Order: sequence, then structure tokens, then C-alpha cells
Amino acid sequence: MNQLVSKSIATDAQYRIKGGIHPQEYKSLSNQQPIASIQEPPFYILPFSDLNKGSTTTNLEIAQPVEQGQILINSELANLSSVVHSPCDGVIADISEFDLGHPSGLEQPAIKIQAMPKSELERSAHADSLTDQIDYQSLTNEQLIKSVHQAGIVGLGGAGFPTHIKLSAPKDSIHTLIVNAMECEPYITCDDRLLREHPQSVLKGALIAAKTVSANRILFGIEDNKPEAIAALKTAIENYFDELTSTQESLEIKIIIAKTKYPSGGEKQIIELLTGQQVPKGQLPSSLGILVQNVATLEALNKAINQRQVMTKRLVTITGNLVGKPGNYWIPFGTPVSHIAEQLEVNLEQLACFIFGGPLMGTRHSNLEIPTKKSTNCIIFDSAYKTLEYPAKHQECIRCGECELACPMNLVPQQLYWFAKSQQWEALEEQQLFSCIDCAACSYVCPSEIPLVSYYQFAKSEIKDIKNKQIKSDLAKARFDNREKRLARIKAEREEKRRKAAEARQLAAANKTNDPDGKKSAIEAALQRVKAKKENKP
Amino acid sequence: MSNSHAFLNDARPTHQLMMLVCLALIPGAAAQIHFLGWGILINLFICAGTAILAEMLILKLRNKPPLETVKDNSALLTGLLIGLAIPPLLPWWMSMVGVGFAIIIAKQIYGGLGFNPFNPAMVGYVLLLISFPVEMTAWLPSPDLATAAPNIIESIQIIFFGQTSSGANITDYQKLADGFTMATPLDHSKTAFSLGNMTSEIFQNNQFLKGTGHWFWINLGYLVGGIYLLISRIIHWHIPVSFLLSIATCSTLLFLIDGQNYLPASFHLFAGATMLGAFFIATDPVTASTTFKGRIIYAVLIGVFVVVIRTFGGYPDAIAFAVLLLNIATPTIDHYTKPKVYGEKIEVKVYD
Amino acid sequence: MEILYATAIITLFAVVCGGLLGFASVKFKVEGNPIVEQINEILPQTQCGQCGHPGCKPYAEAIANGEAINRCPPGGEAGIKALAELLDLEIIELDDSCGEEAPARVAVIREAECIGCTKCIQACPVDAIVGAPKLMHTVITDECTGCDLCVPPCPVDCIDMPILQSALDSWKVPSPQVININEVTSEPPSKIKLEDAV
Repeated sequence: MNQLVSKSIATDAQYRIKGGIHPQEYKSLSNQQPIASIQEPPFYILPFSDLNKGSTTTNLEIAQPVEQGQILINSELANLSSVVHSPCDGVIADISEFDLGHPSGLEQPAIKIQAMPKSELERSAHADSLTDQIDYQSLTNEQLIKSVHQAGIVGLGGAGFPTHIKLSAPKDSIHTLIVNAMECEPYITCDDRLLREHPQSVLKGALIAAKTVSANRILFGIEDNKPEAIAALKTAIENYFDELTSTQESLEIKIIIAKTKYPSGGEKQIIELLTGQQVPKGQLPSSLGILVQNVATLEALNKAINQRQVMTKRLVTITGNLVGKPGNYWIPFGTPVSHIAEQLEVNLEQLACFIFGGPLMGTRHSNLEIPTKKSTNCIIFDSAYKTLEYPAKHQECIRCGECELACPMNLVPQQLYWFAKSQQWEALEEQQLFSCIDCAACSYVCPSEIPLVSYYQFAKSEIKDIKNKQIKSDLAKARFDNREKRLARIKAEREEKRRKAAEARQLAAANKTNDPDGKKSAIEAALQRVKAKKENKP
Repeated sequence: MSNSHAFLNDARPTHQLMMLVCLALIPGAAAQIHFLGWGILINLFICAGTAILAEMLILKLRNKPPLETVKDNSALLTGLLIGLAIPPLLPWWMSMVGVGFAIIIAKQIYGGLGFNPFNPAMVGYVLLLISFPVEMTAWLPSPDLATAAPNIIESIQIIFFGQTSSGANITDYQKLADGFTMATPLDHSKTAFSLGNMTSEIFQNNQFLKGTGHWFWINLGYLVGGIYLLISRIIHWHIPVSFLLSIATCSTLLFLIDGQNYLPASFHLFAGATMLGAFFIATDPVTASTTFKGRIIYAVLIGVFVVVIRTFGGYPDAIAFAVLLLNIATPTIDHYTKPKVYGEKIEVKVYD
Repeated sequence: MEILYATAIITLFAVVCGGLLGFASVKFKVEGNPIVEQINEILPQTQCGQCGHPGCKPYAEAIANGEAINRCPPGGEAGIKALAELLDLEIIELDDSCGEEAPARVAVIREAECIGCTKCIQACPVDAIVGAPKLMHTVITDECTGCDLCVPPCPVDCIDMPILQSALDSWKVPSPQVININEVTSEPPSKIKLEDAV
């Protein structure tokens, strides 16, 4: 047994984060029921890319049959995008633009698949090969990263960042893996439920991730409002240590319990809570030797490596006071919200809009036909949200400073608001707008109900646009200047050539008048050669 | 359709905050009415009414919804603060001029709630103090010193017509039993010092002691209201605590240097508008510094100015001047007290 | 006599201070960005020539010499505003005769049709087209400013100018200000009402 292991696996967090809020949790709405599945939807809509970036092409054709787990959209290993698999057996019904819930209301390219379940016999051998058991310990880091990439795993905490990119940190640069089980946003309970029911899966995923980046320490960060999950995780870790043989490399595993406070689950916040360190501005956690992964991501990682299952579904919290059967469900990616609403008896008559994600960082939607995405961890159907837009009127900022108290990044949110409103982009950058993590703690405490985060989103998007244009114009300017210089040089060179040619012509003409047939110069040259020869002789 | 911001808000709304601040004035205002007479209550009605009407008028002219905006209660609070700052029997039109100036010039011209750089109530008060120095210092003695105290009818008559039906005017009510006229303790001590009296002599004066007594209770009333504001987290400790500590420290220093020519901290803390200023005036979030470090600096400097002006200046009380002076300095203080953002190791200083 | 002393002291003081200031202005002189450079920084560097000058820099020089600031369609309203701010001029509307503000475009050569005449290469102000005589040419998309100058010289009309970004890529988060009660007037200000009141 490992000497680094102490039986006191769980400790309280020694460090604190600045600011934060304590919103009402609403978690018991959905965390009392065991994880379940819903009936498969008749069709799926799968976005080309989950990151709302760029357009991708595909060589799929309409009416082409696809199998469950088949790669629909491949991506390069180095790209900031993930592989998309078919969640079902079926045929491609359509490849075109769909409303996927982008805030612009614009449609995005996606694939529509009509589900056509096959009987077991009809399935090809391809499916069987996926069930082979292999020991991850025998795989190299490169193989592990490749498997993660091929399984299409992205961060399931909300941002949807491809996991294989995060795991491809330079060798020996990471020493600590932080497992983010904080789940600090109200309503959401999928990580809680996952830890209660499958703690060993999460732990195995964490071990794989730790091996991939060669981390020798795994810290589970969890809030104290999830005692059942903490107990389950503790048992899983104890069992793991009992199974450990002495041949195992030294590995420290700990659960660190933090006081419940939003947003302790933010990547920068959990790092500060667990290690007391702050990620330097403009850098990634890897600069501190830390990798942060969400519990659901690690569970998917475990499935991908140990059970060779590609990621085609995730645990989603379906909650809110309009849901007939709230709880956590395995929902395949691309399932239309309307299907979920129907299956779980959502009271659609009273529904004005629903929320993807949590009530603080999520997005509001009104189109029930939009599909769930890889990053959708929660859908809230609640009568508290009466319109798609937030309250249509807000009062003016009275500089009360509550937002400053709530800001976990130690910004001055109300100053950002004034500058964003008056579009003073330089001042905003000086106030470090880009350190803002969009946690919306400031809008939560604002007595004037100002949608502060919307102002920041607006300012960030404007500043990014200006910067992109600036880069482009600087490049064009440099290239224009270079071209001008080149043209001037060529012109000067041509001028020079012409001048030389003219001089040569003049010289030749002058010589001609003195020495019409060139005899004189030939004789002179011969004389000089003789003279030179004589001088060289001793 | 979609919206990129879910938006959850669970704060006490601004109008409720303002209303709670108004309600927290009750203990102090009640003490003031009790000791200084019905005139205060009448003033409060005149000032609050003028403030609301002036605000609505300007909002109407600015094409903003007057009823909805006036409901933020900020104009009401400004009116009440002026009503409590002026002497009890000030002629009605003076109160209206002060409040009107505060709302129209000091607040709405700048863009209304949230945009005004100066505390509107203090701008209105200072305007009155400079324009009508005699009327603005015509305080009444406490009932146990006075020869006669005006009842509610007489107060109304003096405020609106200058004299009562029996022909008495304000000077009749200012007379003490021994024929002197009464000022506030700050006024009194200032005059006494200028006449060459020592601190100990001033404190032996029976009149002074009785006069100080009722101002003590009034200040205590505002202290109670202020503590309620602190407990209910409507205001934060930074401004009141730093302000009071600053006043106590400065006055104690002076008192230690020369105990016979300067007044002790206990007097400064419970004289004049100290408590009203600490909890209700300096804490106006719109015009105070916004960073918490900045608020401490802001309040400390107000305290320094209050003691300096009270001791060496020409005016007996100085809360209004000190607050306005620091309002000017607020942007500068804010600029230099920006908190260090998460992950910002090396502070890059930008001077502009 | 006292007055003389006082005057002399003040004068001396003024001279010394003046001298110090003069010295400081020479010694600590800040190399200012020449105005042409500052104007050029604001211009969008498309080098399209719609202003009538062969490039952005020549137009910047022309503006410095007093030409109108509203002759740059790619810079658009924002550009005019920035120039007006820099030069302390009034904001004016874009000159229609130069063109209209349009979304950024990019040149794309239909390569199968290109005959390799190099005419577009010579026309490109930012050297964003590569190719050789009698060989196919292509546009370096990232460096193309969408200036249109390569289109007229092409003898076979094989250059397209599609809009650079999709609607989604160029979408920006709108300001929430539009729904702010304080920005919305209870009723639109109407002149008639004022006149009625008079």
C-alpha cells in the first residue's frame, strides 16, 4: 500500500475564494430520483461542431444508412473540434441548416438522422469490436489521447472544450489533476447523481486522465451540499486503495470539501479553493501544473477507454417546476427538446421559455425543436422564467458596490458596466474585462436588476471584432508598404540599369571617335599585360 | 429564438433599498421632532413633496415615464434629508428652493439617479446655507430651555406666513429663559471660543449642557437607524465606521494637543449632523467612492475635513462641505484604489 | 521700494520657471506620432482606392492636407467617427460618390478558368495573389483585403468576390441597452406638442 495514502481521504478546503453568492439551490427537485433513461426520439439533429465555430464539410449523403457509434464528422487530432458519432442506427434524413439555439437566432449546419432501430442480428461486426476489454495501463499516452479523440469526448462541465486537447499537455508539465465535482449552479444535479451511483467509474476515469498527463496527485473538489456523493466517492477511493498493489506508482488521492458557494465550480475558482493558487492572467491552469476535469467527462473517459464506448449520450438534469418527472436522464446528443418535454411530461401550456444550463450561466430558448448538445448538462422548464428576454426594464446603476462584493474575480463590475454602456473599449481592457468569467454573480445581486453579463458579452464581442479588424488592417498595411518599397526598388534598379547602359553607350561612342576601329585600345591592353608579367617576375 | 444570458436576480430592488433608508431615518427624525418641534415634520412634508414633484416635472420634460421612475424613492430620500438638515421654522419657499435646486440642478441635469456627481441633498443644503445664512442658522432651543415652544398650528403659521396669528415671529421662540438666543451646540462653542472661553468653561455652561443634551439624543436616534441599515446589509461598514473613527481620532488629537481650546471627541461625535452624515449622507452610493478601499479613504477624509472645518473654519457644521469636497475627489480615489484582479500578479500602473 | 523688490522677485521667479519649462520641453520631448501616421492607423488599409487615391497612406496624406474625411467606404461610419474625433472635425455622412459601406469581401479565383496572365497579381495592392505567367493563380485569403482591384484587369472574368464571413461568424452580441427603461421614452418627443404648448 502506498505511503502517501492516509485514511483521512476527505478534508475541508483550506483556502477561500473572493466574492460569490448563495442562491437558492432547487437541487432536491431533481436529485432524489435515480438516474434513468428516456425512450429514444424518432430523429436526432447533430451539429457539425459543438463550439459554434466555423463551417465544416462532410462527405455524408442524404439517405445514407448509419450505425450507432459510427463517425459522422471526423476532425483532425490537433483541431479544436471533436469527432461526432451517430447516436443511433438510422438514415441521414437531411444535411442543412437548423436552429440549434445560437443567440443570434441564425441557423447552423447540422445533420438530421431518422432513427431506424436494427435487430441485434443485423448489426455489423464493427459494433462488436468496440466491446473488447483492454487494460488502459498497457496503452501509451499517445494511444490514450488518440482513443479519447476518437471517442469524441469534450468537457461536459459546460464549455465543451475537446478533452484530447486538454490531455495533450507537454510531458511532465502537469502534476495535479483536479476533478471538478462542485456543481455549484442551482438546479443542476447530474454530477451529484453520477457520483452517487457510479463513483468507481468516475474514479477510474480520473486514474486514466492522471496517467495520461503523468499527474501524481488527484484532488476531488466538491461542495458540502452533496454528502451522499462525498460518501460514495470516499468508499470508491478506499476500495481502490485496498486493491492497490505495491507496484503501483505513488499517487495521492484526496477529496476536498468546500463550503457551498457559487461559483466555486469555476475552473479558476476551484483551483484557488483547492490549492490557494491563482491562475496568472492570460494563462491556462497548466501553467501551474494543474489540469481540471469535470466528473462527467471522466466518466465518459472511463467508458471510452475501459469499455470502448464512444460518446453519444450524456447525463442531463431535467428539472423545473413544470416538469412532471424531473430527474437525471441519459439523453443522446441531438435529441430534440420537444421529445424530452413530451417524455417527461413538461407542462408546455405554462412554459414561456426554457433554459439550457443553469439559471446563472445558461441560455434562454423558446424553440422546442432545438436539440441537446454535448455541452447541455441541464434543461430547466420553470414558470419563473416568463419571457425569453430578461425583465424588459432595469433601473439605473446606483454604484451600491454589491456586484463588487459578489465578483469572484475581484473586478469592479459596475465600472465595467458604465464603460460597456458608453462603449469605452480601452477603458474596459484596462479594467480587465477579459478576466470576467461570465458567472453572473453580479447580475444576481444587482438591486437595479441590470443584466450586467449581457453588457459584458456585448462589449467582449465588440472588442474582439475590433481586434480582428486591427490585425487584418495591420497585415494589409505592412504588405502594402512592402509592395510600395519593392516597386520603388525595382524602379530604382531599372533606372540604375538604364543609366549604366546609357553611360556604357556614351563611353563606347567616345571611344569610337578617338579610336574608330579599336586598334589603339587593343595595343594598349597588350602592352599592359606584358608590363604586368614583367613585374610579377622576380 | 434564444438569449445568451439566462439572468437570475434575487436582490432587494433599488426602490426598496431607498424606502428602507427613508424608514431608518424614523428614530432620528422622531427625536428631532420631539426636541425641536412640529416645524421639522412640516418641513419634511414640504421637502418630500417638492422633491417628488420636481423630479416628476423634470422626468416629464425629459420624456421619461415620471410615475415609474419616481417610484425608485430616491427623490423622496433627498427631500427627507434636506428636511432634516434645515432649521425647524425655515420659511416654506426657502425649503422649496433648496429641494428644487437639489433635484433639478444637482440631480436631473446630470441625468438623474446614478449620474449625479454630487450628493443632491448636500448641494441643496449648501445652496440654502450660503444664500440664507441667518434663516439657516435659526435653530430653536430645547423645550426645557425655551420661554415658549410653538405648537403645530403656530409652526405652520410661521413657516408659511412668517408669524403666528398672535403676532409672534421666529425670534420670539428662539429666546431663552435668560433672554439669550439659542443656537446649536456647535454654534455656541464656536462663538464661545471666539470670545476667548476655554473648553472647560463652555462645558460648565448650563445652557450649553442642556442644548447638547437634546442633540445627543437626536444623534443617538440616527445611530440606531444607521445600525439597522448596517445589520440589514443595506449599507456596508466601510463608510460610517471609517468616518466616525476619523472624526474621533482627529478631534482627540486636537484635544490632546490643547484640551482647553479644542473640543473632545465625545462632543464631536454627537453634535450637529455627525450621525446623520455617517449613516445617511456620506453613504450615498451614487456619489461615494465605489471601491471598498476607496470608500475607507473617502470617509476618512470626510471626517478630517469635518473636524478641520468645525474647528478652524467659518461655519459651525461641516458635513455638507466635507461630503461635497470628497465627491469631487471620488473619481480620482476610485482610479487609484482599483482592486487587484484575480491572477493579476504584476500591477501595471496606468497614469492618465 | 518694497513693490520693486516684490516685482523683481516675482519676475525672477517667472524667468526661472519659464527657463525650466523651456528646458524640459526640449529635454523630455515626446516624439509624437505624426498626424499622417495617426490618420493612416484609422483607415482600414484595404488599399482599395475608392477614395480616389492609390492606397490608404496617400489618402491619409490628403486628409492631413485638408481633404474630406468621408471618402472611405470600407472604413464606414465608425471610421469617419474616429477620424472626426482625432482631427476634431464634425462627423459627416459617407460620400456616396465613393461607394457604399458593405460587408468585407474576399477575392476568389475560379482556378480552372485562370489563364495565368498575371494581370491580377500586378493589380493587387497587398501582394495577396500568387502565381506565375501561364500558370494558375490563387488568392491568399487571409491577406486579401477585398479591394476589388483585381477584378477589372482579369481578361476572363474568373475572379469572384464573395462576402468574407458568414452571417454567423460576423454576428456580434447586441447591446442590452435597447430594452433599458431609461433609454426608452414614454412617448416619442413630438414637435407638434411643443408648438401646441406655445
